[in-house]
Amino acid sequence: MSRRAQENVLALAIAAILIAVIVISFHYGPRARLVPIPVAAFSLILVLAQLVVQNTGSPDDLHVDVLEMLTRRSAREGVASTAAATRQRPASEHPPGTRARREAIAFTLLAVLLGLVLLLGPIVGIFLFVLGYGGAVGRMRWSSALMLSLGVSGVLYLLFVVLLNTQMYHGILPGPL
Amino acid sequence: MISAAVTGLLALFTPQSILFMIVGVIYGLVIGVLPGLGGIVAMALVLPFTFGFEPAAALALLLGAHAATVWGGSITGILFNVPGAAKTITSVFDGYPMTQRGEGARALGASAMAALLGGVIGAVFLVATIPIVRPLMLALGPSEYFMMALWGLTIIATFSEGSVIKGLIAAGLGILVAFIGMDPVTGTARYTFHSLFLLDGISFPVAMIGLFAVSQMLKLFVKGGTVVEAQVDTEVSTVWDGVRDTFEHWWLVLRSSLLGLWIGVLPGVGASVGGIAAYAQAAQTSKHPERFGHGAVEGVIGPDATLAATEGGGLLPTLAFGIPGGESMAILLAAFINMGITPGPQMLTSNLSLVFTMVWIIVISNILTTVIGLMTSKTLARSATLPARYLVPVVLAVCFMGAFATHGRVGDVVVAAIFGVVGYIMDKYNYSRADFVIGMVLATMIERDLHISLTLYGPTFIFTRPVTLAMFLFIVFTTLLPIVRRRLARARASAAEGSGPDGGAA
Repeated sequence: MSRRAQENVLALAIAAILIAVIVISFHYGPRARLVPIPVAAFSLILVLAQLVVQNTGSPDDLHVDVLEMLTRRSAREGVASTAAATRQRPASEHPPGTRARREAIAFTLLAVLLGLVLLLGPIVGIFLFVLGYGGAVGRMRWSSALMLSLGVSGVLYLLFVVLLNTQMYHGILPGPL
Repeated sequence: MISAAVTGLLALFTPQSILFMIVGVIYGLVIGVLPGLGGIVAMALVLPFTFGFEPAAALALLLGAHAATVWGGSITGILFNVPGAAKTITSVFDGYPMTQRGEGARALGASAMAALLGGVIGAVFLVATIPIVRPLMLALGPSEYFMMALWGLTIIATFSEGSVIKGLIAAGLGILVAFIGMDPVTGTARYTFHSLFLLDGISFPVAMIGLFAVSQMLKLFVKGGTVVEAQVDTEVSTVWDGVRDTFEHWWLVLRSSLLGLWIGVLPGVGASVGGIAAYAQAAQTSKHPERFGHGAVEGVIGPDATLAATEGGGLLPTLAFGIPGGESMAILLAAFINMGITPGPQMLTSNLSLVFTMVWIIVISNILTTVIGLMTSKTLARSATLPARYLVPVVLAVCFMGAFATHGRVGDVVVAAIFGVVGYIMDKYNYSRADFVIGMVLATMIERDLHISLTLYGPTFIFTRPVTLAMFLFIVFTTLLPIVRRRLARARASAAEGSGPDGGAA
């Protein structure tokens, strides 16, 4: 999917959310909807404007700066100085195909951590996640991964459970912590 | 007054008070570093330990912990884009870009020194302005608070690099997300879909953990490498560069500290709004506003000075009227009751030495925090060069734990994960996360004060209230100032080119 198509999908998704907000808001009293409806309506107009400008502008430049149009300033002024200061681009920038795959893996990892926390509670879930991440994804030696996971979950247990006395969630499955 | 200041200081020179202050500062730094936990949590957790001790020692523990959380929260914001608390959100705007280009130690040094100066200036001016501030404070109404919230919104254009439209959309979405839950004005459950969990609304610290911390770790995983973007293995700056920066921008420090004092004095405004307002004034009055959001050291100095100064400011309404300046001051009020201290105007007369004790605690704990900060900044800055394979699982683990501990609800972990994905998408497609957060922070204040202003003063309240009108004109002025300055600079540059060797000859 091209960058423009992705931007369009996102803008349409935001527009759908804003329309839903406006529709739902009409079920509330006049005072309860006094601020939400104008905010949602104004945002919707902006999304439509964004859709128009990103589909009529150059495909290379999807960032249309209203401030630049109004003040005739170059939005790149600041960026250029920072770029000069930073000098190098990240060495590990990935090509688009690899990037999409890594994004999918990143979201999956997040879902795995969330699932572990919901099933086993934060302490046990975090221990297993750090161990698995270190060994399988981070390609550490399993002994190092075990040390790291023990260290992280141990420090978190000490800080949150022992010192801060946080009432811990034990997960859907029965667990030791 | 001088004898009260001396008596207040001497009360702190007991082994118990000194020990309690050191423990409080170290504890506050640790709590500040943990995402989602800030000064309020720090004070609430140590409150039970203060019962039965001398007021000076107990207050040293409470206020020392609270003051230290300000800098503690900035550490992770600057190094990892993970703000420790809602009020330190501004630390990520310029502190993190500085770390990315190998200037983490400089940012931490500037942050620590700004916090020290802000704390001291705030405390000193608090004492000096007690007689003036009181009538001013009482003169402000909801319409003026509404204007202050609007002023915070003017910062949006600063972050909307590439697209102001997207920045405004992000701010609009942030405002709407803040409306999820029970409407405090009408008691209506809005956008909750009959969920009890959503009735409490989306927790701001939890959303912030997701938007910045979780999304940043997703981004780091996808990108690989380290937080430091430029290929620099060592720091290109030192802590002392940051300290020097702070003194070079002394006028900004003074302005920001007085702003912090003022915001702290106003009940219900909160330090989160203070940080954003400080960033707004720093950006709007800077000669180089275009550098903000890209690693401008003024963007670190201004908010940190303000946040430290709010500590002193918050004491005034709490002590003089028994009206807490914020949630943390409400906890302090509870501590007063336990100590048998009755807040009220008599605090500024018969109990003045205790007021000075508190002022001294703020000053000394800020000095302690800065000393610890300057000693540890270099080591802390190195942690930003850790590879993603270590950083991603550890920071994600701390974030999830922090999200859970915010309210002890596992649903908040789900919210943090969802906002993590939302933050990643926003960052990828240049919808400013900072604008989203600003919208979220200011939404409640805007709605509440708009409702009250309309009810009390009618629909034309902006023009019928002189102070409101003055503030409105101030907003217009500070918004237009950077644009006018830029145009003038361009006109001067054109004129200089025109009068150059070629132009001049023509």
